[in-house]
Amino acid sequence: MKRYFLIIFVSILTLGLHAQSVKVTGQVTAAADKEPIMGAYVKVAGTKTAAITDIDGNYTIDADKNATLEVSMVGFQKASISVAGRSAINVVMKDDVSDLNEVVVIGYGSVKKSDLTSSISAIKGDKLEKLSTGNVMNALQGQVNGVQITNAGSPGSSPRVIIRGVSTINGSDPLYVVDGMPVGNNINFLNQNDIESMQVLKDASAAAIYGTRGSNGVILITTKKGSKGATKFTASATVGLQTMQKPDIAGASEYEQVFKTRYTNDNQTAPYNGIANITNAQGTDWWKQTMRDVALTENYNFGFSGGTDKLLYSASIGYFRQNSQYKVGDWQKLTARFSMQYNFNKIVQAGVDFTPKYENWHDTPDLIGAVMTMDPTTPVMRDQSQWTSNPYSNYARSNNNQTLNPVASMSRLDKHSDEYGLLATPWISINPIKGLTFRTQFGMNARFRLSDSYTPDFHIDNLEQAAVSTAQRRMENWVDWNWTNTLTYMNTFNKKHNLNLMAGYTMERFQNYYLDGSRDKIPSNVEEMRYVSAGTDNMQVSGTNNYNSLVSYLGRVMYNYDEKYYLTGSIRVDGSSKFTTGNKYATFPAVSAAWRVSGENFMKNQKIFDDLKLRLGWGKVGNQNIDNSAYTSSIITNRYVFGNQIAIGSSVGSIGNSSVKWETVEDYNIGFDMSFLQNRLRVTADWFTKKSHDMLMKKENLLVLGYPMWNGQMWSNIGSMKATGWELGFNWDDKIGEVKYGVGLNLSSIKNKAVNLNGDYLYTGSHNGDFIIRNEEGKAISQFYGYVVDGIFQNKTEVTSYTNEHGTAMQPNAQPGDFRYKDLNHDGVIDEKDKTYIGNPFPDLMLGVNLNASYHRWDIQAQFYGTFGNDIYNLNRERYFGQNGSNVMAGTLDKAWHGEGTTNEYPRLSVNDANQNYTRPSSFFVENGSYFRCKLLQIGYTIPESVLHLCSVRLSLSAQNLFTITKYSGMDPETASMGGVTQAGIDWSGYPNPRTILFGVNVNF
Amino acid sequence: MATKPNYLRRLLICAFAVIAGLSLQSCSSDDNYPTVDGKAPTLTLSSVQLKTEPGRDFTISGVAKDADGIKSIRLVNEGLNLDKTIDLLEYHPDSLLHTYNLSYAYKGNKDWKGTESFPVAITVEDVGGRTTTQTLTVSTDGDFTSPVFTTAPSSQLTVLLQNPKLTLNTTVTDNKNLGYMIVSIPDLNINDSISISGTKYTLSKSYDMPVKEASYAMTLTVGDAVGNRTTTSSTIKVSDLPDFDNMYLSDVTEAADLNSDLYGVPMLIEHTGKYQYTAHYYNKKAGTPIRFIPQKTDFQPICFGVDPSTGLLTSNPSVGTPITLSTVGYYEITFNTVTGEYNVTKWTPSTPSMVLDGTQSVTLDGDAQPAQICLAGEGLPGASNWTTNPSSGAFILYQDKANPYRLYRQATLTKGTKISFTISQTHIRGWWPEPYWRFNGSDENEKNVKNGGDNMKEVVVPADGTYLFEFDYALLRSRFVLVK
Repeated sequence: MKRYFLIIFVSILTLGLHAQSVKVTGQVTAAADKEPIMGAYVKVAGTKTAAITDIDGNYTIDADKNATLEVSMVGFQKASISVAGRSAINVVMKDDVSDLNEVVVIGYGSVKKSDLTSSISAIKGDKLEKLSTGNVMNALQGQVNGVQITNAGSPGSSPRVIIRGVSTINGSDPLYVVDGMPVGNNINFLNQNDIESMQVLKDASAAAIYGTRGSNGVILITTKKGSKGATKFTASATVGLQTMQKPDIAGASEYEQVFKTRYTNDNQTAPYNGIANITNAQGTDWWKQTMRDVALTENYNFGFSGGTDKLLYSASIGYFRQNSQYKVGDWQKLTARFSMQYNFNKIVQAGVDFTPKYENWHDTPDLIGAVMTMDPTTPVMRDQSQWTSNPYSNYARSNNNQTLNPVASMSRLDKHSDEYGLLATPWISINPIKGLTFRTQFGMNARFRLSDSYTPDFHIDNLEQAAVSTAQRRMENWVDWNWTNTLTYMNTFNKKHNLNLMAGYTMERFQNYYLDGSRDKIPSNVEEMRYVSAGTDNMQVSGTNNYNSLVSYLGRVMYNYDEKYYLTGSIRVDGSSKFTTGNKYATFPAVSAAWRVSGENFMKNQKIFDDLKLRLGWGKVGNQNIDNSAYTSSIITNRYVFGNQIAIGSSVGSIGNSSVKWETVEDYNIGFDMSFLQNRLRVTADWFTKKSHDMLMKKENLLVLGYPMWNGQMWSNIGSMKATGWELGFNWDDKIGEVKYGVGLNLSSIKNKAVNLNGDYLYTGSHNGDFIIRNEEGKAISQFYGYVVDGIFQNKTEVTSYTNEHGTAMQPNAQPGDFRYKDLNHDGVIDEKDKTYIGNPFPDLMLGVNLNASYHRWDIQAQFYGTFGNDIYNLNRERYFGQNGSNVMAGTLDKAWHGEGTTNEYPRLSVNDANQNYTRPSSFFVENGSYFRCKLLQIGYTIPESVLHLCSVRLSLSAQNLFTITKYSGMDPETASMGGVTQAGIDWSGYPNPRTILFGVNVNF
Repeated sequence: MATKPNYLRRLLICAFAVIAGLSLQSCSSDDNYPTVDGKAPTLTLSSVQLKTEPGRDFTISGVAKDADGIKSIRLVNEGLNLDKTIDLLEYHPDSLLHTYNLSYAYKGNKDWKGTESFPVAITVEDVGGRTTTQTLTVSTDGDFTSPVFTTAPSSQLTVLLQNPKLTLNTTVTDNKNLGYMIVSIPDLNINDSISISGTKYTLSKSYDMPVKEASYAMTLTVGDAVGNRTTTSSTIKVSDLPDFDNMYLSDVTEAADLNSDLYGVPMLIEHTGKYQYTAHYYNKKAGTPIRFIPQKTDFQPICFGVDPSTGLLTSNPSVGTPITLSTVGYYEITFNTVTGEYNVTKWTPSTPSMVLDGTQSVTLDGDAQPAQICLAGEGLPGASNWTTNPSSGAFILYQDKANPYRLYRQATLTKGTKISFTISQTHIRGWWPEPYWRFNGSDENEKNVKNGGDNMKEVVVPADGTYLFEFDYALLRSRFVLVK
């Protein structure tokens, strides 16, 4: 295989080289660090004669005495030098400091960054490679303002991405488009090392060209392509060690004391099930029994790219693996990418991007809650004398509560999946006349997933058992295709009128098929029998197809006069299979304009601004994120229990609404782009507001069933939400002596409001028979709603005197040590009417700080991200309660109220909790969720070429999630902030983001 | 030389002045009420002496007045753990009150000994900060508790023509001192007033009834020494021996035990034919005496026991003696109330027995769960309301090892607690699976119905104590009785 690569490499390398008669030699070096540049493309202007610099930056080329040499290299400004009879010419290349000339992909086209009229953030792929992660969006966190990315730390998990707030209850995921192909809402399959650039279309004037699915913003990803020049090989390897902070949970001794105190405080005898063989006060360390001290993460990549005038090529292969911090669970993916472009002539070009992948994962358990509540006096295994032939039955049952043995649960977890995928985007581009381009691309994204699960039979206890084993297999296919045709015309008239016209037509279809089968009563739990066919009872099978499709007509006009006055207008007409005739088509227009103030004559003599541009934008985007068959009613098979018999029948599955139509979001944006001090300081500022109309919500139709019922709900266009905010970005790049450094600062603030919820409250976050969150019209979304704790009753007098004006006790069940709740409406009764908004899970401010510096061969990168002003409803605070005999946080015995003046925060221990200290939603659970986290700290060293003659090697040492500054007492304020748009910020003890120390090697040759 | 004006300094001075002014403005908000007469408020209490008794609530009342407006009223007494400020500006934010009718209830403490005295300082403050204080003394030596019929005649009494004599065996108690008792049967011109004293008195007295079939209303009134009184009414029916629709088995010896339960005592038996009855009974203790009564609260006026002279049953409670069940186990007793013939035999229930102690499992909706029975309801100590979920503290019953049909559990109950439930298999999701047992719809929950029936009629705990719940799924009878 290696030999073939070398042959291809040599062949390609020589394609562009032709022998000439006059010889010029020299060295190409970088102006910044004086280091030689390998791989620079040296060409004799106007000829096909070219050369590539070697590892020391040296080149040799034949040229005419009067010729001009053109030297180009990615990341440097192009240099042109007259030969003027010289035989030795050294070239010093300047960094391409300004990114204003960078070409930005805008959706069905591209434009110079300086010519943007709408709010688009662009980030280069190399900035996303610093962080080793399974999902590249994790690396984007803090790099782009206005984009709130909340990471879930477990292997294979996807982050929550919210672009410029929330304007719909129907999900917040943006649309991901990879090389022109919409790929859904999860880009786990993508190798971060394959990304050339990423563009975030934030406002509607940018995203409207994606009409139907642009309401949550669009993320355009361009993968790496070959570039003209010699073949360059890159390889990298990163190995990391993940660790996770153990929560501070009580040991056996304190657990026993708390357990008993809860009863004695209520004048009851504790039904404590003591165990005689506890040998230490800590008892069983369930964290240690279920978690690894260190979990491994690995990331390996190899690629090459190059090209000639005719052929550009690029290929890569990558392997990523992340182990779960639990003793079971992992995720690994093998990705490859092949990109090729062939220029038949000046008129016709064609190419294909071909991205196969393979993913495999073993499910990561969700046991942190069980680990924290499990009785520490219970051993992992029951006494050996009680063991049976079924190893799953030999685990111990909790002595004093109903928590399932987490080690036993972990041992039974056998769920694993394999997924194969192929993303292919062949295309042809034809330029029949100057400026006119016709491009057609047919993209296909196919995935096949095979998931197996096995649940063994076992009997630990009557309440911890499965009488029968079950084997299940699910096969699921997704086959999406997209045909995109665009006609683009670009030209400049009279040197000042720049015009860019685009018209297009697209067809898209999304298909999903699955087949699911299971059987019970497998004769044995041995590995060899864990197949559906081995089951002997209860054969179940199901399967169905799902489709939806879109056809779209689109067009865009971009005009600018002398690069001072810009006007862009776009329109997209989408027709969707999700809607019926009359509502099937919708139009999404957008207009944006910009004024380069710095280009005006009156600005020529000023020295403050190097660039100053004002942008204005308006647009409409859509959302069709509803069931494929929302317009039609369905009847489904259902089961009903008569006595102990299960009967199978039919029932109403869903109620259709033939009038359902598009949800639209209207968006306004105003922004400034500025640069100062010879472009060293670049500032971007935006203000925006967006509001949804005809928001799709499910509404109960009482006429269907005659009574309220979930399956009588139907989709209706009845809601509205609004998001308003601002963004501010600062980027500073400079040098001090030989130290080159850069500072990036991203700030954004967004307020999300529910405008119309059809007059209803939307309650979410069910807990203890109540709800934690209430969404209300006119209020911020997803706010915590509950009672306000006004301290703790310290003595009998405070309890007795907490009455209404006529002496009626407001909390008749309270005792000293219980919470005092505020009577907010002063009606003398503590009830539902005293609930109020007690916290907001969405931050007031998001902050990203990115630092980089280099000195000679050393470089350092640091990324920080933080959110401020957000609250978290920390359900872990229940772990000071010991409900149902649960274990508690260490120190509970001392922290809980145990006499006047002991605390005003943690109530007394009580088994009955008659005052509902822990079972009412209240401000006790609300904590400040603000945090500031060092996401990445990386130090790199590039070994001099004089040491390694064949290649350039960079070594790096990184720390991810190195430290977090927060007052939040839970495990991770970031994962605790997760959740849907109407149910965010409840800490359910999810998998926290681990701290990872990584060692990396990058090799270029 | 002219000096350059210091604009920064001027700006700071101006800013300071503005902020200081604003601060003073906000600090004086409490003083914004105009003074009308500048006098201290007045307080007129309804009484400066209040009597109560242990456990009894009382109300402090009076009228506070102030021309300037009343800000608050504060009530303080350390012994009562009372330090309450009624902030009228908070309770009535929309109007400044010049007259306020104080009515402040205080929940009595049953631990009081009856000798305490609590001087409550009541301070009225007006919006100008002027105060008036008065003291009201609360003493706990009052008597507000009415006497109680611990054994009262049934609401329906039958006097047989063969023996037209109404015999009352009625016990009354009072927390302090009884005063009198009146037996009133107006149609018979009986108005018998008896002076009594002490805390307990049993009236044992007979009244002759006319020898004719008729009904009479009877009222019994008991009063204590300070005039608190309680009345109970019954209808006396003089008749031939009727064919009673309901007949009950009593396994207690004292009439008081017929009345101390929540429900279930005495136990309803089957009416199998005219004057013919059949009782099935589980005798859990050898030597238990049983009798049969048509009324529920007393052994008077009719109680079927064995007439020692004839060996047959007699309805005369003063003659009949209980039937003694000699061994542990199930019995079937049949008898005829007219002929007095009766038969006692051992009996075996035909209902299949079940293991319901949680050691066996039952599959419910696909989940294997322990076979065990609980009371799913309200008022049960330690259990969430109406749950069958063991994790939510379902009130799980124990199974008698000697008799698998008998399920039981003790509970400490507080007077006044309202209790109702369904007897049900537990469920890990709190559902109500089969088997379950409800009731036959009778007012006093006299019989259980498996997998059907009506909801239980709510019962109220009559006194603090430990109670025993017993349920026999073969007999379909349950009871909740006081054990201590």
